[in-house]
Formats: sequence, C-alpha cells, structure tokens
Amino acid sequence: MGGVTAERHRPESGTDAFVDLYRERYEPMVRLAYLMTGSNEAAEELVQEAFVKVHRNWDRAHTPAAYLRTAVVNLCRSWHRRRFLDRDRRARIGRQEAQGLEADEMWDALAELRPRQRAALVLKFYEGLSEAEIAEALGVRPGTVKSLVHRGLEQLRKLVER
Amino acid sequence: MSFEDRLRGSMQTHAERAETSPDAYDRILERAERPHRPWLAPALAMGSAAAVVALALAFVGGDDADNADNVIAGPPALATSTTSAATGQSPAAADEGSSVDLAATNVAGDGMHAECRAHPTEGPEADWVLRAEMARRAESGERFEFAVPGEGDLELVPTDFLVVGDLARGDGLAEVCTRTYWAVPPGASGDGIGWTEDVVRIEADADDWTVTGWTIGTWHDLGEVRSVEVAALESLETCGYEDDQWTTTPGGIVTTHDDPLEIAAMTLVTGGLGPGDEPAYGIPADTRVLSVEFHEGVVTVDFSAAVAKTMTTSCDGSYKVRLIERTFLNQPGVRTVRILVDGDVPGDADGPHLIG
Repeated sequence: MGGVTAERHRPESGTDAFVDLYRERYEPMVRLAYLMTGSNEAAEELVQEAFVKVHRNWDRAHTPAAYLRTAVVNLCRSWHRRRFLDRDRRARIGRQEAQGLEADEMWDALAELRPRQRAALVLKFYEGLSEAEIAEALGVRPGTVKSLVHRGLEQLRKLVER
Repeated sequence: MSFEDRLRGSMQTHAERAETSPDAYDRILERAERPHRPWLAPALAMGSAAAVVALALAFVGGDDADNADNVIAGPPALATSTTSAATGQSPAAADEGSSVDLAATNVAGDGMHAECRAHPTEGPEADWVLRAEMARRAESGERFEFAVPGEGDLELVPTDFLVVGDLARGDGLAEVCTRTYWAVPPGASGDGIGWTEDVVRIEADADDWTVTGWTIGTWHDLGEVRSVEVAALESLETCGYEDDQWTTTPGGIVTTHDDPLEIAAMTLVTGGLGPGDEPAYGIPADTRVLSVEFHEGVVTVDFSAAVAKTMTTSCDGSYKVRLIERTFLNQPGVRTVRILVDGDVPGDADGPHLIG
C-alpha cells in the first residue's frame, strides 16, 4: 500500500480504523469487484468509490466492512446497469480482459449472467457468504437469494454445456 | 470435481489476477475530499427546484448504500439556497473544483425554465454527456414537463429510477417505476422514454424484457416533486424493487397500485419476481392480482388464479398475511415504508419479515 497519507486526511471519527479497513479490505474488494465486472479497471474504480462512501459515512457505518461490501456490490451492479445497452463496449472490455488468459468457459459463462445472478454467485462461491449475508448485501430477501443462486447455477450450466 | 467446485476454482483463479494500484489510498482520500453532491450547488444556483430535480435525476445513479442521502437537501436548505440563487450567478462558478463541469443556460431567475448541461469529466462516467431539461408551465399551474431534448450529444440518461405519478394526491409516492437499464437515445419519445402531457410512455429494453405503454399521471406540486424524488429511492429500496424485479410478477401488478405499502405487499406476496422470471413460489404464470386490501392489520390479496400450497391459505386465490407494523417515516412527502408482517411468506416461511 504505497503512499498512505492517512494522517492528513483520515476521517475524524475513523482515525486508524479507516486505514485498517483499507489495509484489510481493499485488495479483497477489488477481487470481488473484478469477479462481478470482469474489468480490472472498473473494479479498482468502483472499490475506490466505495471507500469514499465509507469515508463520508463513517459515523453511520456501524460495521464498516459490511457497509463497504454492500457499497461495492451495489456499485458493481450500477456499473452493469449503466453499460447495459453498450453491449459492444462491454464485449470489448471482456475481450481485452481475456487476452493473455487461458480459456475458461466458466468465466466466460459467468460474464453472461444477469448482474444480480452473477453477484449472488460470486458472493456465495467466492466470498463464501451465507444466504442471509448475501441477502443483506444485495438488499433482497433470503428467499430471493435462493432463487438467484439456483437459477444462476442453472443458467451457468447451460452456458458451459452449450 | 463438482460443478460448484469448478465455479469456485474459476473465481479464485481470476480473482487472483486482479491488480491493485499502489496509490489507491491517496486517490480514495483525494476523492473523499471533493465536494459532495457536485450537482447540487449549481442546481440550487439556478433558482429552480425543478432544476434540482432534473440534476438529481441525472446524477444520482446506482443504488449505493447511502443513496437516499445522496439525493437532495431537504426543503429548508433548498428554500434558503434558492433565495440567493436568483442573482443569476454562474452555476459553474458555484462549484469550482468539482469533478463535474456544469454549465447552465436559460436561467431566467424566475425559476420557470432551466436547462442544464453537464459534462462529467472524470470517473467511470467520464464519457457521458448529459443534458437534462425541465420547464415549468405557468399556464398550467404546477405542472412540469421533464423532457429529454432531441439534440446535441446526449447519449445516456443515467437515471436509475423514474418517479411518475400524480403527486398531488397526498399519498406521496403514487407509482414508482424502474431502476432499470434505460438508455435513452437523443430525441427519445415513444421509443425509449418520453413524456407527453399526462402520459409517460416507456419502452425499456432491459435484460430481455420490454415494457411499453405505462400511462401515469402528471407531476404536481414542486415541493412534492422534490420530496418524492427522495421517497422514490427509499421506497425502491424498502419495497425490494431493484434491477430487473421492479415491475410485475407474472401478470402485471404494480401499475394498479398507488400506495407504497401495497407495492411492498406485492413484492412480498409475489416473492419479488421479475419480468421474465419463471413463476415461482406457487404463483402460476399469467396470474394477476385483482385486489389488495388492508383491513385491521391484515393484508389480503386476491389473485386471478389459484395459487399453490406454498401460498398458505388453500388454493382459493386468496392469501393473507398479518400486518404487525406499518410505519411511514419522514412524513410529509417522504414516504419510507416499513412493514412487518407475519405469516407464511411464499417460498420463505421462516417467520416475520421486515421490509425496509
């Protein structure tokens, strides 16, 4: 973590806690965002934005790590939303990101899922969250999480076997 | 290796390839120190709450954790700011140093007309060029027309939501549509999204579904518009509307309801299905909700078809949950709804559920 200048800018109520949060969660959140967006550039941008939100709402974020994760998840979904009709661009990003990587049909299939399904699967199978935790992060009921995961896996299987 | 294990492995492999920048922390702090709500000061400087709404609609994107707080200052702040705004001060100058370069024209100082053009200059939306326009028609009282102009380089209207409806009814949020993926082409009217007189027409191509022909009321009362915009965000959250699940379940439900509680109840009883989703939770395809009633703490929903066993009370098309708590927060204007119901919630019968 280069160039940390927390002493100059840290939140009044956060002090070292914000720095700690950054140290502990920045990289994992970038990875999470990368899995949700497929774009390293977007992942970093969105995670930084999420940290900004935590910074601004430090007093209200009773559990900053959870708040941060929710913000990351939501920002990733918003990112997909904004780019929904810009399919060419999205495809271009995907191709660029895929260059130099070995073929991975699972990864390709994941990118074709609807954003919410993709988020649910990433939170479950990468983050290892419980249904309740996923529901909280996505802002849905646990029952909806079950549906998202079930249908996401089903869709993923179809895509991989295609 | 199971399919799930393969998925885990793939995710793990790709996640490890994600790279981080060494100066990320400084960039975070730098951004955190920038003016919050960069659109707000210029909008206020226009002396028009309508402009505030327009810009808020334009700039508030996404459903981040503090979205509701991101929207608009409350009425007192607005009133104070608009007083000083009638001077015709350059909106851009009002927010020097912001990450958003804003310019405004047609600011007559009377709050009747406002045109805003915004050019986000950095960040993920840097390639967006937005122009929002809102005009107030004096001859029609408090009616507003919010239109997307058909010229220039408008590429995307990044409204993640749209609030429409008759806001003068006093019940706050009349109808909430969307949180979707609309991209609005220049000159959009009829295609994409358009407002004409009392009709809002939407054709939203989003994730393989299309919605057309929503007919809703006019916008009334400037103050209500301002408030409801906040309410919309919160209600969307509390009602469980998001992304692709905002409209109807099998059948077309939401359009007929004008009470947030009903909308919340609809989400509850239908399991939050989205357009294109296969019926679940015991609701057959093409099922319509015929009526929703709230009486003595009981929500009663009548369906057009028999629902399955998971819907509890037999297959007579009736489903009941007991309403334990119903709270409207932040009244007047903002209609955040929290309801706590008890009963066998379809597909998730593990006790009381708090929406919101």
